[in-house]
Amino acid sequence: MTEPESVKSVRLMLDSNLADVFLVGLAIRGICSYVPLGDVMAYQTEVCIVEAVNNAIRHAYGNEAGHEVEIGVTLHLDRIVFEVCDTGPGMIPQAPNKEPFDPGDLENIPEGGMGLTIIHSVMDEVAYVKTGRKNVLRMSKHFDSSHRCPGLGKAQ
Amino acid sequence: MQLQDEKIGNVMVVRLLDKRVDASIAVDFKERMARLINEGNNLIVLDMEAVDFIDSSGLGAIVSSLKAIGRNGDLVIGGLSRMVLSMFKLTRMDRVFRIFQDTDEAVRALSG
Repeated sequence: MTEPESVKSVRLMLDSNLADVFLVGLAIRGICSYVPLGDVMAYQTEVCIVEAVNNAIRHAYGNEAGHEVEIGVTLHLDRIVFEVCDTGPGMIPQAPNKEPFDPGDLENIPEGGMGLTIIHSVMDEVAYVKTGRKNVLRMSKHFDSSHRCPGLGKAQ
Repeated sequence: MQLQDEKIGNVMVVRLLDKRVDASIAVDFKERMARLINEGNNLIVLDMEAVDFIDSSGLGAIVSSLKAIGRNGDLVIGGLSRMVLSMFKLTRMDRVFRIFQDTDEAVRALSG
């Protein structure tokens, strides 16, 4: 089956090992360098995907190696869509904490739980869906489609 | 994880040598910092010049270190890249930590 015009995609597979997540980060960094996001936004996008993969490893698989995390990247003309998939128990992630902390209140400055907040702050769309056995965290980042990515366009 | 520590006067400079401060090293980092703090080092400059990536686990580990020092000292940060600084700003951690352009400036601030 041929892909629709102007959509390119790739899927990465990772074992559920936190030590290997950096490879996904580097791959995302490379892909995002191709997309008109700007360097800071491209970097923050990498962080979002790393956060999502970390969450899958920790919460879907209890930090146990030997399970699969799948990362899909789809490049459209005006947005890039990421899907981070696991086959764990499928708990819906808690909504990000919207209460700002008091920077002067040392004891209550968060040490964890910032991953989803980061994702929701950076990404334009975030959705959690279940597809068969897979739990999918789908994140989209829009960009200015007037700056067309080389290679996106009609299929050859 | 790789880090180097150097005492300058009463300030401990901790240089992070890893490029990525992420979930894979966060626990080790916390433990190494806890050891330094338990040894009595309560004025710490975290030199992050070599770091080009940090995630929430890395940020959390640095917060943990600040909490370990408590009110009787300080942990400040030097040498953040524009990208890593953007994560501090995104998570409002730039309001928690004093951040300096470079390590020398940070050491002077804590020594004064």
